[in-house]
Amino acid sequence: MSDITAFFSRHGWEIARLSFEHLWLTGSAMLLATAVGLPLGIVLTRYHAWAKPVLAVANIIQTVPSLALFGLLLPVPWLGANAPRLAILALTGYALLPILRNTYVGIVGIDPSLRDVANALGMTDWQRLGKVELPLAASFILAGIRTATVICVGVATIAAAIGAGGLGELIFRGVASVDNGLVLAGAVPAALLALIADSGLGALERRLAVKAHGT
Amino acid sequence: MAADEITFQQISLALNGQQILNDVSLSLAAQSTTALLGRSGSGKTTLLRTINALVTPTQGTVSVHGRNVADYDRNELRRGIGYVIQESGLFPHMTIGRNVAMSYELTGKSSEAVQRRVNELLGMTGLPPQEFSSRYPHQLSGGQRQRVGLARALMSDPPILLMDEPFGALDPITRSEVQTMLHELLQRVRKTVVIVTHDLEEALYVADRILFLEHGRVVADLSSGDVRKSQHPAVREYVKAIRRGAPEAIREGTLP
Repeated sequence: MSDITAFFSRHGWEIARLSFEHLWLTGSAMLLATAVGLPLGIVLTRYHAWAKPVLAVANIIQTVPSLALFGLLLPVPWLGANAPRLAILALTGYALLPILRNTYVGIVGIDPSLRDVANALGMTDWQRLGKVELPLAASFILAGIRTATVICVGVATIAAAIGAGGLGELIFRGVASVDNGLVLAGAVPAALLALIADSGLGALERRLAVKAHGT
Repeated sequence: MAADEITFQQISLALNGQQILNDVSLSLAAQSTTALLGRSGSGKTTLLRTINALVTPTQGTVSVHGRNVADYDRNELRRGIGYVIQESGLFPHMTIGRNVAMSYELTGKSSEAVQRRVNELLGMTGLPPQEFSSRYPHQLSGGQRQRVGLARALMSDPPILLMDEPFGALDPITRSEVQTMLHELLQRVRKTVVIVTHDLEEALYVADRILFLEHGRVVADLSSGDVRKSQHPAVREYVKAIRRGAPEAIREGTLP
């Protein structure tokens, strides 16, 4: 017991600081990914021909191993000069696919008769988007954001490898010094962050879900 | 009278090499109720949808109020035409009141006027507004949803009302109730109505003119009084389909 107390008195502040860094990296990446993915997903529903190639590119970004992506971006000018900046951009790349895909599929998957009725009522494209498509696709889009957030929290631990900070720092240090306590000090808060984000966004998602006609 | 006419001039539509509509020419008088009758794939729904420009024919012109549909601002055209579909097409995330009020919401009318009109229409379609206005579509039965769909289509008091198999998904008893409501409603609010159906009885009950479609062509154009007398093979088939299984007395109309 006294070991744990001693451990926390030594590392407590560090864990808190690194958790905050982790949150900052993930949060910034998620904001950026949503700001890009959501509008782009909507645009794709208007230009179906672009959907396949754009989703394919997002898919490819996601399949690049994260350590390799961080490494590959390191020599890029401006980007490589600032490790957190680079990490946020790489994380944005990982978060993009789930948001993009769910926005596109969520809107395209809406009952076509509802789109028909919206048009027949004389809705403009913007009115249809705001009043019908986005509200009906909202829980689906949010599910994409949730998936992306969980991925981001996990991948962000790798960002420590390029010196961007975050809870990965404790994990890497723990691995290097064969100190399981340090590994756990990084892994447990990272897992908790992912769980909290997952359940919080999941609750919001359920609130936004629209009940279908009971037939 | 002539102002509200709908006119089709030699319209054809081919889609993926298939002829959906084939040289249809006719006009529909203002305040008449016309039924488009035909089997699945006969082109009846497509013909209906050319009126509010949900479908654009590859040849020919459709005119509404004497003006080519293609010359209208699309949304302006559609806001003057009520549209009712099978399964009602109510927006599931909106209350009944908001669903009905949608056409007012789109044009930004004052909320007091909206509320009054919504209550009036729900009342007219047999749904007490205080009970139904704040409910959601999934809390209603199929027949009630269809009534709401009709109320929504009539909200902005459009001169034209298009109905695409509006009662197709309802059970027979509910269907007959909603048909009666529609029939009585149309006596009160005179509209130019076009209704797509595959049910001759329904067509005879609500419409005063019936167009029979086959393979994208209008093969028979009859007033509802002439249908039973027609010798046209396509029409005979429909009449026979009604009579099958009906007792002699009902067939001959000697029973009430």
